[in-house]
Amino acid sequence: MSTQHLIADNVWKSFGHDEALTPVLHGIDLSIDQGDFVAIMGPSGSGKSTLLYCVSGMDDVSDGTVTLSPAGSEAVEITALPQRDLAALRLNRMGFVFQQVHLLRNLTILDNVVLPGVTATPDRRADVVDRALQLLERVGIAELSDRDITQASGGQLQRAAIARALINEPELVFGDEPTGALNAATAAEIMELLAEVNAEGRTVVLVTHDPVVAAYCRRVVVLRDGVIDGDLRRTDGETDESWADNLAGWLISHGT
Amino acid sequence: MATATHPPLTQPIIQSTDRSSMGRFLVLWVGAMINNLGSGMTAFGAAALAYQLTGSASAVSAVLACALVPPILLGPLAGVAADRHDRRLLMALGDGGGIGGIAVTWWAVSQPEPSIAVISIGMLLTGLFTALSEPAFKASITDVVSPDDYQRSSALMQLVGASRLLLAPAAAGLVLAVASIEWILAVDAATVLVTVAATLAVRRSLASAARSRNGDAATATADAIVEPPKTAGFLADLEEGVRALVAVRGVMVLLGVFVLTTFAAGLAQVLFKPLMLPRISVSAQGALESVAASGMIAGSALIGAFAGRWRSHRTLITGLLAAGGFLAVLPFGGVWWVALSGFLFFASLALINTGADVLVRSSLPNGTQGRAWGLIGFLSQFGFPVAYLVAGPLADLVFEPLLADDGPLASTLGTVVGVGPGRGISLIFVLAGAMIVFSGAAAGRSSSIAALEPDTESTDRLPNGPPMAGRMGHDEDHRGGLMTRMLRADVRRTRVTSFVLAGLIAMAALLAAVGGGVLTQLTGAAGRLFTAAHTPDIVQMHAGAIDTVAVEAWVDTQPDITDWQISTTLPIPTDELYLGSESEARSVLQPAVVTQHESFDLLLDLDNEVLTVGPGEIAMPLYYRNERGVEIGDTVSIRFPDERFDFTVTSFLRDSMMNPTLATSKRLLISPVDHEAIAAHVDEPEHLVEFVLADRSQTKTVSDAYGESGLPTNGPRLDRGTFFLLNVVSHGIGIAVLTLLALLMVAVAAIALRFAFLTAVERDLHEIGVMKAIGLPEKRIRRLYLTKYVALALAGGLIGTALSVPATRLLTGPLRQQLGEPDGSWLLFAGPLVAAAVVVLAVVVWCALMLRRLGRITTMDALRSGTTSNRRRRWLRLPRRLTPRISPRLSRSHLPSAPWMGVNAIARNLRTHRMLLAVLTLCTFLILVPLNLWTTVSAPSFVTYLGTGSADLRLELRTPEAVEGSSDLIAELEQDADIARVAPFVTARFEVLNTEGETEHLTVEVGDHDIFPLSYLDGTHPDQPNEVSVSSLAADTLGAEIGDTIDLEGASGSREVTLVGIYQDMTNGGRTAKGQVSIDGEPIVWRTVLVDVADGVDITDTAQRLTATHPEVQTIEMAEFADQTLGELIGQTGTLAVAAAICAIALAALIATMFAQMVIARDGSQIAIQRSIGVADRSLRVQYLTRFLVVLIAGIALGTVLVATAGQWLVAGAMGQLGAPALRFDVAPLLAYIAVPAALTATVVAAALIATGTFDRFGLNHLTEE
Repeated sequence: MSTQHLIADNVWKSFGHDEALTPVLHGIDLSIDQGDFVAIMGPSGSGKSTLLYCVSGMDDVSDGTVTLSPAGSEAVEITALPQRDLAALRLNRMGFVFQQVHLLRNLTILDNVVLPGVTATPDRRADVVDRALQLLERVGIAELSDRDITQASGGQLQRAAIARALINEPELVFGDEPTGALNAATAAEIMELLAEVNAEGRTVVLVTHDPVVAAYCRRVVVLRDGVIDGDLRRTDGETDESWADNLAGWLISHGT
Repeated sequence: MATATHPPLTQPIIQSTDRSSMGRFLVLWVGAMINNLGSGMTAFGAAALAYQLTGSASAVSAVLACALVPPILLGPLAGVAADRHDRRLLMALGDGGGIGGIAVTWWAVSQPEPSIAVISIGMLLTGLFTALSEPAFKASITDVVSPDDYQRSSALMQLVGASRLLLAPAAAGLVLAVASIEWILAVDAATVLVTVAATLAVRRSLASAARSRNGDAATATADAIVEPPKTAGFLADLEEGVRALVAVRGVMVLLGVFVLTTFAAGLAQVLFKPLMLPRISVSAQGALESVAASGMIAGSALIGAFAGRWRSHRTLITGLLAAGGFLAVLPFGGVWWVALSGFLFFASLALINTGADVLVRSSLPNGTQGRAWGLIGFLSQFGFPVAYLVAGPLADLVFEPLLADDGPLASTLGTVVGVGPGRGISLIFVLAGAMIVFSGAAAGRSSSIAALEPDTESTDRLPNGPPMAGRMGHDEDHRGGLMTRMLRADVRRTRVTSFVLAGLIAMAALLAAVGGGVLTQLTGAAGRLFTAAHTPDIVQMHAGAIDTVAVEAWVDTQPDITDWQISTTLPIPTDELYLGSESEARSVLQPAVVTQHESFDLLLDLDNEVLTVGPGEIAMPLYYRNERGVEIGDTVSIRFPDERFDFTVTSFLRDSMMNPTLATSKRLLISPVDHEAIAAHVDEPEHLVEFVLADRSQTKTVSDAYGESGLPTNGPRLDRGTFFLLNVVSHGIGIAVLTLLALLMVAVAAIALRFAFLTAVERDLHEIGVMKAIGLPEKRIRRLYLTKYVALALAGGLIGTALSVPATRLLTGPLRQQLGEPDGSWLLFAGPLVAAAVVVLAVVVWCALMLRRLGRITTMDALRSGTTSNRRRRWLRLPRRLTPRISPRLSRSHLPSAPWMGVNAIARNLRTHRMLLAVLTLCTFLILVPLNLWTTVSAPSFVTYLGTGSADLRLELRTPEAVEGSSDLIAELEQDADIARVAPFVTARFEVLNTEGETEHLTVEVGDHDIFPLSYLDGTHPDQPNEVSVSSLAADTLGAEIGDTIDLEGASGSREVTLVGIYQDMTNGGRTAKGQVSIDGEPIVWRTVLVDVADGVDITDTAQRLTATHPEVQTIEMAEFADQTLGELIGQTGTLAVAAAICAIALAALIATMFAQMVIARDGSQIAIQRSIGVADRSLRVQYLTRFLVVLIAGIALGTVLVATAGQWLVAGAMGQLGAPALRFDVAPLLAYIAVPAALTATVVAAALIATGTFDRFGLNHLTEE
C-alpha cells in the first residue's frame, strides 16, 4: 500500500492582502499514501487546520498544487478544479468530520446521513436509506435515527457525523479535531470507529492536538510555523504500547 | 503632583461626563439651527422679492451675493479671531450685529418702491456679522463638548447647514403664501435674539461651572479655564497650509475640480429663481428648493449605507458626471421634472463631497490637516462668491439676449434650447452642467487624483464633512466611540436590509402623505369652490311654469331665508346642440343655457372668478373640454328648426352644482340678451328655485316647509350638502383606497421591521452578550439599535414626503381641474407632513417598544447562543407553541432532495415564513381588489347596476316630436328585420312617503320588464298590474320589503302597489322604481326604448341608421351610455388599479429581497455545512427558490380567497352607498388568475435570485466561526 493518494506539492497559503499578507503555510510538500492513517499535529497557529482544508479542496491555495491520484483512476489536480467540481469531489469521494459536528439542524439524524447519499444518487433513495440505517447501526446509534439533533449527546452526534461521512463510500476521510469536544471515554470510542474506517481501506487524515488521538494513527506529521517539522511513521508490526511510547517521546522533542 | 505646563492644543474646558457638555452644546446648536433657518428664510425672501420687483437675474444675484459672500470670504479671518478671543462673545456680537442688517432690510422693503440697492446693503450687513459668528461657533464645539461626544456633535453640526438649504426655502415659501416678507424679517430678528440669549446663557453657565471647579483644590490642574491657544499668525498658517497642499499634486487638481463645481453650483443657486418664478408661485418655489436640497440628505444617507464599498475615486467621478448631467437637463421640463433633477443634482453633490473628502484627507499628513483644511475650505468655496457675483449679469447681459426671440443664437442653439425669456438661463444651466461633466471626465483621467486613493479601507475614517455648500473649514477627524463604529459596521453589513426597511417606510410615508395631501386638497378645494360660487343651500328643480308671486309670498314667511332667486334654465335638445358641425344627439347629457346670476349660485371660470360673457359668447362646462375636446375659440351653435344661434367659446366654467360626471344636467352660460332670444324657442323652460339660508342647520326644516307649502315641485329638491357630496364622492373613492393602502403599508412595514430587528438581535446575540458581560448599560445597547432604526425611519419619511409632492400633484389632476387649484396655504403642506410624520413616529415608537425585549436576554444565554440548546430563543418565543408538529422526512419522501430541503425548511420554521406569507397575501389582496373593481366597472354587464337591462341600444324620446311619433316608431322597430327585441318604457314621477314620514319623489318606469330583465337582489320583476320593483336605496328609504305595499301619490290620485323585487341602481341618486302601474294623467319624465339587434347585425350600423331615419330620437349604444355615465368612475378605478399594482409589486419585491437576504444570512452555517459535504450551489439555489415559491403560492391562494370574501364585502359595502350594495366582482380570469400571479412570481423569483447570488461567501469562515 505504498501508492500515493493525495499529494501536496509546494503548497503556500497566505491570508490577508497587501501589507497585511500573512503566509500560514510555507511551501508544504506532503504525500499521503492510499490507506494511510495520518494525524497532523502542531501548536496552535501552526497551520494544521489550514493544511487540512487545503489538501481537501475546502480552501484554495496561494501557490502550489494538490493532486488526488487514487489507484486505478485518473489523477485529479484539486487546486485546478472549479467550485462545482470540487463540490462533486467532496460529495462522492471525501468525507468530513468536524469538531463542531456540523449536522444540519433542520433534519433528523437519519436524514442528515441520507442527504449526501440522495444528493449523489438521487434515483436510488431506498438504497441510500438502507445504507444509512446500516451505517447508523454500525456506529451504534440506530435507535436515534428519527431524533432531532437537539435530542442527542455530543458523542452520539459525532457518530452520526461519521456515518454521514461514509454514506457515499468515500476513499478519503478528513477529520478536524473530531474528538475535541468529547470526553475521554467517548473520544476513545470515536477513534475506534475511525480506525475501523481506515481498516476498510479508506485513507484517513486527521488534525489533532491530542497525542492520545494521534496514537491511533499510523503516521504523525508535525507542523510548526507553517512548515513540516517532523514526520513519524509507525513501523509494521510495532505494538500499540511501543508506538505510543515512541510517539510520546518524539512529540515532546518536537515541542508539541 | 501634576503640573500643567503645556496644555494640548485643543484643551477642552469641560472634561467631565456627557450630560452637561452635550446639554450646553445642544442649547448652542438649537440656537444656531433657528438662526440659520431665519437668515436662510430672509435670503430666500429677499431674493424672491428682488426678482419680483425687477424681473432681472442680476438683482437676485446682487442680493444673494451680499448675503452669502461675506461669510465665505471673511471666513479665515473670522476663524483667526475665533482663536484669539472669547468665542461665545464673538458669536453674540455677530448675531447681534446681524440685527442691524435686518433692520436696514426691513426699512428697505417697507418703502413703497423698495430699492434693491438698500436691500442688498441690509443683506450685506447681516452677512458680514454672520461671518463673525459662524467660525466662532464651529470652534466652540471643541470647547464645550467632551471628546466622547465629538462624533455626535459634528454630525449635528452638519444639520445646521442643512437647515439653511433645506428647510429655509420651504418655510419662507409658506410664510410668503399667507404673509409678506416683513414677517420673515421679523422671524429672522426673533431668531437672532433667541440665539443671542442662548449663547449668553451658555457662556454664563460655562463660566460658573469653571469657577466652581476652580474652587476645588484637589482637581486644580487640567480643569482650569485655559486661554484659547494663540496660533502663530494667520499668514504663517496660510504658508504651511499651502506648502502641504502643493506637495501633493492630486490635491491641487482636486481643488480645481472643487472650485469648478462650486462655481457651477453657485450659478444654479442664483439662477434657480429667475428660471422658475415666472412659472410658479413663491411658495411653490420655496417647496421646490427644499425638495431639491433634500437630495443632499438622501445622497448622504445613501453613501452612509454603501460607504466603503466604492473607491472614493469612483464616487467622485460618478458624482461629477451625474451632477453635471442632472444640472444640464434641469431646465427642460415641468415643475416636478425640475424638482426631480434638482433633487438628484444635490444627491450627486453629496457623492462629490464624500469622494473628494476622503481623497484629500487620506493624502494629507495628519498634523497639517487642521490648517490645510482651513485653506482647502476657503479655496474650494471660492467658486461660490464668484458665481454669485457673476451669475446675474451673465444671465441678463449675455445669455438672455443671445437666446432672445431675435437673438444671434436663436436660429442655431435656439432650436435645441428654445428661444425667448428664460432660455438664456437654461443655456447657462446646460453649460454649467457640461462644465461639471468635463471636470468629472478630466478627474477620471487624472492619474494624480487616482493616486490619492487610500490603500486600505479604514472603517474608522468614514467621511463626515459638512455638505459642500456650507463648508467653512473643517473639524478634526474625530474618532467615533465603540458605539458609532459598531453602528456603522452594522449598517454596512446589512445594507440591503437597511435599504429595504428605509424603502418600506418611505412607501408608507409616501402613501400616507399622498392620502393626506389629496384629502386636504379635495376638501379644501371643494369648500373654496362652493364659497366662491356661493352655492345655494336649497335648490328646487321645477319643470314647467312657475308662480313667482306665490314663491315670494312663501319666502316672506320664512325668516331663515336671507336670499332667494328663481333661475330659468332653457333645456336644449341634444340634437339641436352642435359643437362645431357635430350635433350632440348621441350624448346622455341634458344641457341647458343659463345666464349669470347676481349674487349667488355663480358660475366660475377656471381661476374660480365670476364669469361674464358677452353677446355671441358662451362658456362651456369642463366636461366639454375633457370629453369632447372643445377648445376656446370653437363655435357652438344651437340650431332650432327656424333659427340658428352661433356662439364662440370664450371660457370654460366650473359649476358647483353640476360639475360631477354623475350629474347629467349641464349648464351653459350665455349673455342675458342671447338668453332672452333663445327663450322664445324653448317651450318648456325649467326653473331652479334657490334659497340661501342664514343658518345652514335649518336646511332640513326649510326644505320640508317648502315641500308642504304646495309650491311647485315638479323636480327634485336638493341641498348644498348633497351637491358637496356629489363633488367629493367620485374622488373620495380614490382617497379611501389610498388610505387603506397606506394603512396596509404601515402594517407591512411594522411586520418587516420586527422581523429585521429580531434577526439582527439574534445575529448579534453574542455581541450583545459580550456587551452585557463587560457591564455596558442596557440603555447604551438599546440606543445603538434605536439610532439605526430612527435614522432609517427619518430617511424613509423624508424620501416618502419628497416623492409625495409630485405624486399628489399627479393624482389630484382631475380634482384640481374640476374644483380649482389649491391656494398654497399652510394646510396644503400640513396634511401630508402630518401624515408622514405620524408614520415615522409610529415606526420609531414601535422600534422602541421592540427594544424592550433586549432586557429579557440574560447574559449567559446570549454568550452561549450558537450552541444547540433547547433553551435557545426562549425569550423570542410566543407564550404558546403555535408551531404545529409537521415532521417531513427526507428518507420517506419522494421529492428530489433540493426541493424537499426547501419545503422542510418551511415546515421546520413556520414562524419565520409567516412574515413573508402575510406580506405576499396582502400584496395579492392589494392588487386584486382594485383590479377586480376595475374589470367589474368596465365590463358591459355593469349596466345592470345602472338600473337598466342589458340591451344593445337605448333610445331616448325627449322632444315633443319624438313623443308624438313614438307609437309609430315602436311599430316600425318591431317590424324591422335587423331588430330582435324592442321594449318601450315610460317613466312617470310619483311621490311616496319615506320612513321619516316625508314626501319624496320616486320615478317609476313602466313597460314590459320581462324583455330585458335586470338581475335582482331579491324578488323578481313586476309583470302583474300594480306590482313594482324598486332600487335598493329606494327600498331603504321607503323601509319597504318584498311583499309590502307602497302608496304612490300621483297627480291623478294615489295607487297602492306591491313590492315584488329589489334591484341595484347607481343613477339618479340611486332611487328609482320599475312597475306595472297606470300612469294616465301623470307627468311623464322621460320615455325610453331598449332595443336588441338581431344576431350578426352590427350594432353601430343600426344605431347610425336609426339616427338618420329618426333624428328626433336620441340613439345611443348601451356601451357608450355606460361609458358616459360612468366615465370618470372607470377612469379612476383604472388609475387606482395601476397604482395599487405598482405599489404591491414594489412591496413584494422589497420584502422578498429583504427576506431572502436575511434568511440566507441566518442560514449561513447551514449553507456552509451543506457545501462542505458537497452539495452544489445550484442545488442550494433550488432549495431557496422552492421555499419562496411555496410561500408565494400559498400567499397568492390565500390572498385570492381573501379578495373573494373580505375584499368583495368591503367593496360591496362601499358601492352600496352609491346604490349597488350587491356588487359582485366580475373577474377577468386572464388578468386576475394568470397575469397577476405571474407578475408576483416573477418579482419574488427575481428578488430571490438576486439575493442568493453566489453562495461562495459561505465557506470555511462560517464553519470555523461557531
